[in-house]
Amino acid sequence: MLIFTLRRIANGLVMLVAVSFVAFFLLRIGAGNVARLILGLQATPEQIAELNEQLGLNRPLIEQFSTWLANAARLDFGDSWSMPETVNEVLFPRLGVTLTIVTLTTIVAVAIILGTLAAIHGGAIDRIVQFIGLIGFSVPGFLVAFFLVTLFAIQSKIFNAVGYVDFAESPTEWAKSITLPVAALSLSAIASVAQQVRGSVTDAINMDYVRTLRARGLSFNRVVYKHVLRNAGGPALSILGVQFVGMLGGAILIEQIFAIPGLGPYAVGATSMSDIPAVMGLVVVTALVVIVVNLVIDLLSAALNPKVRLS
Amino acid sequence: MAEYGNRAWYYQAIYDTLLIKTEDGTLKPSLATKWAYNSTQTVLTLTLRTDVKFSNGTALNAAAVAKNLIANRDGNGPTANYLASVKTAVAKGNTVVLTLKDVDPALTEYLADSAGTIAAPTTIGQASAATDPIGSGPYLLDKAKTRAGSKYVFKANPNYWNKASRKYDNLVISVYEDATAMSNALQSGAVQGGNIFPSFVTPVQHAGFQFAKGYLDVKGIYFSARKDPKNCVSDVNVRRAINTIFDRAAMLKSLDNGFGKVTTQYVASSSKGYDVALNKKYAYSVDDAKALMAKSAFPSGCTISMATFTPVFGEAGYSIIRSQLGKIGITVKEVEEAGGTFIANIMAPKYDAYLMIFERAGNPWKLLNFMITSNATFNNDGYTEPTVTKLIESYKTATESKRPAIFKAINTELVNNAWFSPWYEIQGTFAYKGIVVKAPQAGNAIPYLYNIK
Repeated sequence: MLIFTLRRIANGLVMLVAVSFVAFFLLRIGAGNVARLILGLQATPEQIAELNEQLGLNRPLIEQFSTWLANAARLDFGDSWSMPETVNEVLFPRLGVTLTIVTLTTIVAVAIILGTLAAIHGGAIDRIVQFIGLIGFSVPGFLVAFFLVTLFAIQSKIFNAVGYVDFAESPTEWAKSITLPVAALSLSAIASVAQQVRGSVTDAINMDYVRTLRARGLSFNRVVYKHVLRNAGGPALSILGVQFVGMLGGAILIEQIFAIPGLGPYAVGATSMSDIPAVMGLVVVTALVVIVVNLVIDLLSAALNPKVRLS
Repeated sequence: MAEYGNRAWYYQAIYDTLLIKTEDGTLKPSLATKWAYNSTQTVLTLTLRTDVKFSNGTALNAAAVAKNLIANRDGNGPTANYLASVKTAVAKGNTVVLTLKDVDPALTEYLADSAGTIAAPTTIGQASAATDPIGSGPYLLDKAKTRAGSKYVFKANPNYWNKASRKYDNLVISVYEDATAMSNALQSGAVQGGNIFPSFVTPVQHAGFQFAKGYLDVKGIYFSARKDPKNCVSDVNVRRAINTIFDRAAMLKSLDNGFGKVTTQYVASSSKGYDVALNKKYAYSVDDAKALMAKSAFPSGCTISMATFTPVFGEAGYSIIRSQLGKIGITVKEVEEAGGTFIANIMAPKYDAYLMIFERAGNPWKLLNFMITSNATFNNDGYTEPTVTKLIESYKTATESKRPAIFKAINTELVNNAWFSPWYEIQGTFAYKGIVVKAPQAGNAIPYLYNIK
């Protein structure tokens, strides 16, 4: 397992450099006149030339990339071109917020699915989970968000409509600020994972070993949670991993709607301002999260089901 | 120093400006108690308050102000242009004497905006000033509670010299990139004021908000090839025909839900240069437009190149342009531009015309230098006409009382000779509750902080 893990980390690093390389060149080619964007419409050609020099934009692209890579290797993404803070000062707190939302959403989805696992192969709960799945698939996240905000924040004022409060500042306010975004994101996550789990569980329940275990007197719930889940968990974990990564993208929209200071609004702002250091920082940390999540999913799959061989 | 506009609150919380502006743009004393030009308007003397301290405890004096002005002039930002006319800034007692290279009728207005922002001299040129600003303004940045790009928290400056003008002890500026988030923030009571799209007026009104409605922006077609006689937009009758072929009222309704005011003038309806009678010119008529084309040097029509940017302006507007210009024999050759290149390429100028929403400065001289003078920022083709040039020159040297009439004469020339094809002014809406905004801020999208009571 150690060799597998090390090999995956090495592959991840190569992928990280490749992604950074492609992103850097695409961004630089498509960025247009960055100095003009930063300085505003009334900047003189002399001011623009001076800023280009200052930002190193007049150096060869490969040289710019090498400098950036050397700094990025130390996790130093440099100065933002659109904000007074460095990229690190803005990026990492925002990464924490986005990961909090996405992780909580994943936990909520998994908890709901596990809670209903024994019943999702038939009966009323199965129909409810399927109904939620249908809604999750068919209703866009922003509409769910709009509905939740109108009902629970604007009309009843139970939760916050916008903004984010740090847990350390006030746990209650934190919960009020994060509940609706997590709820809005959870629906589609539940929909995707529940359908996958339901299919896997239904298949596993019809296997001979389940009948044998039941014949030996084991309770249905014990069979499901101890034996069926191990067999059905692999595909579910895979979809959960994909879902987690997908939620990073989904969070962009949800964070915009709820004005959550996560990676979403930062990505939108940095892109519109051609803030290449910020966008590159975003690309790297997002790729890093994807690599780590995939690795964790692989390791969890192996832990859950020893039949899975890591190779 | 960055540009002001929507960011004014951040600066006005921390820094004082030498002068301040009322909602209609009238200048009032602030750090400078008096200001006066010499007879040739080339020397401006500012008399300063003597009881002001920066938040780090150092006294604000004439030397500090002179140092700020020179730094603002020499910096690499939009503010540098506003102080380009300043040759020297010399401290004399409690006055600062600005000697100018040339007359600048907008200079005193600039001193009420970013160009007149005064920071503690020790922070000038320091990178830390951006995140740890030291000014003499009403508030101090609460760094611990501030989240960059999302929420900026300010607490009252205990040593502020003008406490009576500060209406609130705490100030929180929240950043909403999304129009729906802004509307939700207002409706849920998370914030007490903010700009909203007109389409959100009804739900926000139901939440008990009032509105300050302004008309800062104007939408229309702008030309960039008026000097080249081979190009049909160089012909005044073609430009007049383009002005006549659009049903502005119908377009306002269909493109912007009727939230705006039809106009034929680039100059804002709140400006002293505006003439409501000029809006009768270019009444929509296909026949009149055709007749104007027949009178032009291009009676059988022509082709114009046009930059498009549909993510911002939508497809509908371009569709109307194509269709209406087609009726008078003008073929539009469209090129879709990307966000990063749109502005640069229209300024190049790479196209004959473009659809644009421009905001209008409250100060006429600033407006003229943005759009009208031959080297104005958005006079992309450097176009001018002798009458207009002469009027601009006379505006520059005229006394303050004579300038409005000259500005109106310039505006009349612009409309009569169809320098542009404006369609309508777009309504800007600032919603507020629990605070008081008397009127929209002339020339700015948001009311100035010190005018919010």
